[in-house]
Amino acid sequence: MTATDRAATPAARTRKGILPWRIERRPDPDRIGVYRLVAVLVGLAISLIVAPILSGVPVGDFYKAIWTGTIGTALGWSNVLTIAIPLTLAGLAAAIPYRLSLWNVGIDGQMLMGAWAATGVGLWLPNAPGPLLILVMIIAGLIAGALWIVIPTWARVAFGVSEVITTFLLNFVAVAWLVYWCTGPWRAPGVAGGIRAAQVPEQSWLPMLDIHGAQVNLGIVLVPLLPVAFWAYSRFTRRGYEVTMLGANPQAGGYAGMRVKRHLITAMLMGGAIAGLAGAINMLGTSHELSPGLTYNTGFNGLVVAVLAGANELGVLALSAVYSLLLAGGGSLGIIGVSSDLVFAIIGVTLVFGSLGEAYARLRLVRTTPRGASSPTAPPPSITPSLPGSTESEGAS
Amino acid sequence: MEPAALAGTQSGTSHASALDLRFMVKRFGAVTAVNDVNLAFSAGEVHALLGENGAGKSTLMNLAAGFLAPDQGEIWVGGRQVRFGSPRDALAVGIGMVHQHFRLVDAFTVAENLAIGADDVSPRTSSRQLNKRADLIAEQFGMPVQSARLVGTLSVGEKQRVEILRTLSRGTRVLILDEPTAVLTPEESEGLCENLRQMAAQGTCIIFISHKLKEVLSVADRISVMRKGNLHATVPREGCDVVSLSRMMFDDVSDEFASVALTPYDGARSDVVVVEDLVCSDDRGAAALRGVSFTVRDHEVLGVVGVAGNGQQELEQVITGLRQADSGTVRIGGEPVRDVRSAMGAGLAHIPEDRMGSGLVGSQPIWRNAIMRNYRTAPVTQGGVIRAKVARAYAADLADRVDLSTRDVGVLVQHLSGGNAQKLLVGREFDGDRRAVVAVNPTQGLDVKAATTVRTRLLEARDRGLAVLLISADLDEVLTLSDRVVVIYEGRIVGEFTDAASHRDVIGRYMGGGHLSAESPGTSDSDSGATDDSD
Repeated sequence: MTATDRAATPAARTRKGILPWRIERRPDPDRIGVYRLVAVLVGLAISLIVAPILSGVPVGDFYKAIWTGTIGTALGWSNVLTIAIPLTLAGLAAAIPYRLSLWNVGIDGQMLMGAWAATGVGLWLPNAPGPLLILVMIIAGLIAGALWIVIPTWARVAFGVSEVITTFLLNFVAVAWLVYWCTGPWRAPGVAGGIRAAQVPEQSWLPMLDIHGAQVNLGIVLVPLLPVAFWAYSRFTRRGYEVTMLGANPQAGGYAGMRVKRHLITAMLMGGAIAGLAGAINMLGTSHELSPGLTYNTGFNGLVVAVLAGANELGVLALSAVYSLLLAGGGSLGIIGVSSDLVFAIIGVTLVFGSLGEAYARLRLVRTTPRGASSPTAPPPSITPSLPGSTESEGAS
Repeated sequence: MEPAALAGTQSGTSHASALDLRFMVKRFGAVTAVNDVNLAFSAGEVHALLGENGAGKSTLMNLAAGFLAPDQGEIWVGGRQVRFGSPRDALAVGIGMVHQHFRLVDAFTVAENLAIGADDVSPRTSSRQLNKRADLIAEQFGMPVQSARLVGTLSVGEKQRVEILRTLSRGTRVLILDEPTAVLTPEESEGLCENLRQMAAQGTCIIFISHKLKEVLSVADRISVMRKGNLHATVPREGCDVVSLSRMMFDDVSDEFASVALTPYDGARSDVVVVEDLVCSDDRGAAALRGVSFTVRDHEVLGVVGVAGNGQQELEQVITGLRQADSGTVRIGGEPVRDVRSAMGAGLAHIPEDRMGSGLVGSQPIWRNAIMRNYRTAPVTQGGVIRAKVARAYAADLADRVDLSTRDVGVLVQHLSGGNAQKLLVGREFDGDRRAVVAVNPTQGLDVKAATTVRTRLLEARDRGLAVLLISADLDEVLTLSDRVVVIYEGRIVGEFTDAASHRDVIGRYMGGGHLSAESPGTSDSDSGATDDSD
């Protein structure tokens, strides 16, 4: 009886066949994250081998475009870093609720609302000094993002309404809201083409940094800072401990007297606020003006990052870096005539591989010959969940 | 092997049984859930499978219906041996099982649900044809349904009817129902029993899993009693009553309790846990507790026995602060329990029934689980930060004291055996300043050695002066460990016993609702210890 005696765990579902093996569910897998990360990288490698063949351009050109568009040139680096800012924040905005199994599918909407509030402040106080204005605009963005998730949070906590649907649908409301402001009160004067608002005051534009020739706005400092800060908070603080335990087993949280609802509310509002921050930073650092297309689906990419990272904040940081490279490379593929949608296909492939990796971690092959007495004291529980409807766990737990 | 069970097998040789289980064995790790069971079922009978929680009846039927694969044994259907790789295989030879939780699509109509997976339906079948088909099925089996209604709008009883019809419409000749009345109102239960009798009259074999004695007596032709994975007896209903059945369910005290014994305590005792007039509903809003009052004193174990589902779960939840009572109060050492934290603050330890489900977090290491009670305060937490070193040292010390199989506190709890997980949980709950403990089925699923350890710990706690409330479905355990025993039945305390071990027959009868029958207690001298609560 060793603590890691896996062979002693029970068979949940079995398929009898000719082969002396069968696939079993592993009731209590660990190291899922490792399986998933490896699977993502395998998916990425396969995609990057197959994609150029399908793209119809010479293979050499394909890789060269990706190289120059990402880490091969200073401009490429600028692109990668600029993309990484909102993507990392969006990944966090998804990961923080996801730690408690809550899905924030409304990050794009919250980003837009964050950018909207920041723009409002900027247009309202055109003559305020730069640093103060930036601070107030960012705070406005945080608050607006959090407010945009209040209704889904309330519906979820008070009535059990799925936050997936409510957060998702509010994305469209946010777009409509921005279209109104960009075509109405804040319309850019005398400019044709595109729905966008007037530029925010120039002193509120985020300063540009020069990192070995790569130009990127000040928001880049948040990219390592926030994930590490949130990771440390989850790992070392009392409330982080509660979230960890609650996320792994909500029942146990209630049993230990943790305030489950309060944690759900905090996680949702925090996710919304960080999305709002991402929107404000994106507007202040790159476009300097509000438009409904500001986010380029960053929210959904952030959700992919958070899910593949298993809601681990450092995983978000790492995977955001990988996807920023991918997205920047995809952008430069457009220049040589390859549809940049190819990148979204690759992201999809990695997502599928990541899920497969997770499924693989939950299964194992075992011999069908009886195990006999080789497994004396194993934990008997965990079989019940896979049995539809057997609440009475006979002999187990 | 029981003679009655053997007789069942032999009758199967003269004319083939509808379902014949031979030498069935199923183990889950160290626990043998089904131990060498032989049982045959005939067409046209309603066969009740009776037993306490954990007796193995659901597991046995999950083997028969292809939801689980047996470790050993043979399944014979209509004189042919069969092997099931999945429930689908079992359905193909006419064996269908209806679980407590329905697998229906709420957003589909009754007719659509009945059509899922059916061979005679194609995607082009119109909804009118589907409804007509559903009406025909309902008529054929005598269970009326409203074909066009959405399943999500149906009551639980109606949903169950749809689920049964769906199983029957696949040509099921052996219908297994897992605790079908557990989710039903009394009226719905009666209707169901009526339907089952009709189906049996038409030649279907009905297997009815239950732990409710009265129900079994009203519906079954034959009754098989399981105890701890073994088939105890198969008897015809004629000649059975609540008393004889409960005796079969909770037989004599086995010697597994030899090493634990209650030492007499002569000191003065004062009330620690005071429960007054608790009224509480279950999750479905039905009355679960209907005015429960009792006290537990220091240096005392109060055992609460009852057939599962008579309010024990709600009682546990209210006392530990997990559930709000509709009325009534719980006080621990004079302090009222309002929520989990106030119960913990009053010094209540809690050993929940489902240790991995609620008492521990399997995917987290031992040390994080060890501090679940004391992580809020110093020395584990300081300035809002968990001091991992202190926490790990505490966990290592705890592991040492409760003699865990590993001293590596980084090991995930899900890799501990059931006995070690329970040692960890019990050790954590008893560590510190405690006045009382609520323990629910604390030895369920444990092997004898681990169970003895846990029982010893409970008695040690009592001898240290704690008030122990032991809620258990294991009658032997309660009788061995308790100073006093109360019987809970349909949300009420229906009897209180001191010197309970010598009144096991009476207690068994009370558990089955036998106190309500005409037979008055006090007819035999064994009843002298009983004092009825008047409520």
